[in-house]
Amino acid sequence: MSTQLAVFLAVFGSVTLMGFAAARWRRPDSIHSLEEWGLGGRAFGNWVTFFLLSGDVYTAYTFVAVPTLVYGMGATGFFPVPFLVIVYPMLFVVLARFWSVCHVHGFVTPAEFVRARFGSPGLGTVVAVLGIVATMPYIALQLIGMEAVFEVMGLPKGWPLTLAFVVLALYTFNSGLRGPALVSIVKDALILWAVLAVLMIVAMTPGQWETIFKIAEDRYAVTPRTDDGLLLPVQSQLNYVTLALGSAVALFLYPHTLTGVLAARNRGTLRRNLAVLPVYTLTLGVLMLVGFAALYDGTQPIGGNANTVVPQWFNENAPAWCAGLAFAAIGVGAMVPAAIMSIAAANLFTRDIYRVYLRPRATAKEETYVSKSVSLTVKFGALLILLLLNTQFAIDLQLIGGVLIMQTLPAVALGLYTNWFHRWALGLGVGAGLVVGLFMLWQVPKLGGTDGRQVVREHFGGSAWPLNNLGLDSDATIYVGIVALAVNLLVAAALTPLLRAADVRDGRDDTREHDYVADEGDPTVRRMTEILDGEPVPTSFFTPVSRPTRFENASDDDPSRRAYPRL
Amino acid sequence: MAHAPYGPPEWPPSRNRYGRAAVYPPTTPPPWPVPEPEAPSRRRTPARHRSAEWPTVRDRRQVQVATREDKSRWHWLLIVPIALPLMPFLYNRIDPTLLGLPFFYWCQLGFAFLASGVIAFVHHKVR
Repeated sequence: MSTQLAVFLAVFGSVTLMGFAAARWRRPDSIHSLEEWGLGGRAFGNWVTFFLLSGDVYTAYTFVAVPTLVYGMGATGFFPVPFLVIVYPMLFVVLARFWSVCHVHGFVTPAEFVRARFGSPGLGTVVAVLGIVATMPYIALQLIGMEAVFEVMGLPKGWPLTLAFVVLALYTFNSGLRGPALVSIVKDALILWAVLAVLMIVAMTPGQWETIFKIAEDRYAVTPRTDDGLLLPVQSQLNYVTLALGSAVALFLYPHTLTGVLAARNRGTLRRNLAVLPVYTLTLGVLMLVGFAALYDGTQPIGGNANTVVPQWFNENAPAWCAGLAFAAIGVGAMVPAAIMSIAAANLFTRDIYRVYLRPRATAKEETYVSKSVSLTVKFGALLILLLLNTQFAIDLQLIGGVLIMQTLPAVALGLYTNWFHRWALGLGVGAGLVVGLFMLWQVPKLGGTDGRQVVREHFGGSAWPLNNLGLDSDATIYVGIVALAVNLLVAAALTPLLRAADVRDGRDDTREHDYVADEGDPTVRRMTEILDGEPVPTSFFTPVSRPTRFENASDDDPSRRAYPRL
Repeated sequence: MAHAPYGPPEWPPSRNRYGRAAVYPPTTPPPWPVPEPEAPSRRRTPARHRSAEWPTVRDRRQVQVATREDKSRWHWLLIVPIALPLMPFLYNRIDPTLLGLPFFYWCQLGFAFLASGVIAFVHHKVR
């Protein structure tokens, strides 16, 4: 057994133990409620929220696939950096409002919010279904990241991946969101170590970054492609910008991001984290530069799998134990977001399909049980997609998923600010956006060959839609999602006044403006004092209690009763 | 007839000297400047029963106007870190390099610090 594999297994084993032990962390009275299992009791403080969100956003696939893109294309592959910078100012404006309204009403998913805001269960279901469909292939992508590491370590395809995922599925089943929250601390430490390793290795190469970029520039100049290079070619700029913008919009709407957000303890925690998280993008930036370093060192991907470039570079250039740690970083980095994604998808199913259509009177315990089972199903579904179908299929599905999830923007993100939109206009807007988006994706051919101009596959070949489909004489491309979203917004905005004029009934808005600014300690926020173990119950503010049917029934254990002296 | 001892004289006189109501609306303009009457809103008001005083069930839902409680002008500052990375013509160049990194790369990484700083500033101001 190689050193790499030994280090990897040691880290992986301890992480598994941590995942199971997490169920005991800040142990609640009962983990059998969706708020405990699916949101960790909504009580994570500054640090845990930071680790959880960073583990959620910076996934293993990003760490593996994006440097690969840089390796192949140069500057065009650098779009995640602007994407992960602009996303935080955007999130800063909307997330605090989302947190507040979800706490006041006890929502666990964005679809529940849409249902209450626009008074439309149908629209809520649409948001839930889009969320689940977009999340599944995203989980499969995490597996692809892990698969690349296994391939470099010389493990066969199939059972190691399945084994890793069984472990992940079990501890998610057991611990809920507490599992990935605790594991993400290890993940961040490992990633930080990998970044330091990259910087040290590059510092030890003669000429350092200057030589690396010089070699890379020469390499891009030799290839027959015209769209690679150290700088953006003119025809790629539009796609670069729209891709960054579109990815940023989609990231906010993905259910797993919102799950991480709702687990934060209060608005301040969230906003402080959003101020710090852009700096985390630097780690991704450094790992992306590994793509150039791999060009310099002449790293070749293994077995035709382009995603193995980064692990292979570590394998060749770092000491064995250090490469093992880097592999573990990618492996653990795949487990954390996969767990959160499956929890988010499961919550969507339970709260927005099971409870709405199948069992409206499900108890909290039943809900949790359904969620746990669905999280298992979702994970194994993703595994099956990867093992039975092929890798490329998962990547294509995820591409479509990004376009799908963006269509929920008017209902979820704009819904936080206004209920002006008519529910039917929103629904039809989503429909129009989906039709346009899928049609455009269908039109995109997959290009390949040495000069990148031969058509390998006719349809669903990427997300960059060539503008010459419009009859324009240019090589420029645009990200499909942005166009589909624009159509969606136009339809929703145009139909709303028409539907109002036609006196089509509006849904009832169950939220009030004050719900969007409520914070921990605000009397409308439920269940904030009882959930934190070991913290004294604050007596300074009024805590709403359910009215006891008889006075004798009120127990002295109820902490909220101690807030006021007995009369 | 009792007059208010302070302030401007009552205009238009509410009662005539016999204690009856004065002419309404008054025919003469008041001696002090009067604000223009507000123009009717262009927003379409929801349909109501013509005779009823109370809104019907259908209008119970009212479109929220821009009176958000967390509104602040400082939020507009966040546009800067959003807009700058979306303008490639600003940073799509090699020189000046930093530690061997072309401007394209270190500038975009630098935007991360800018975003962090601006968000922290706005958080501080809005809190």
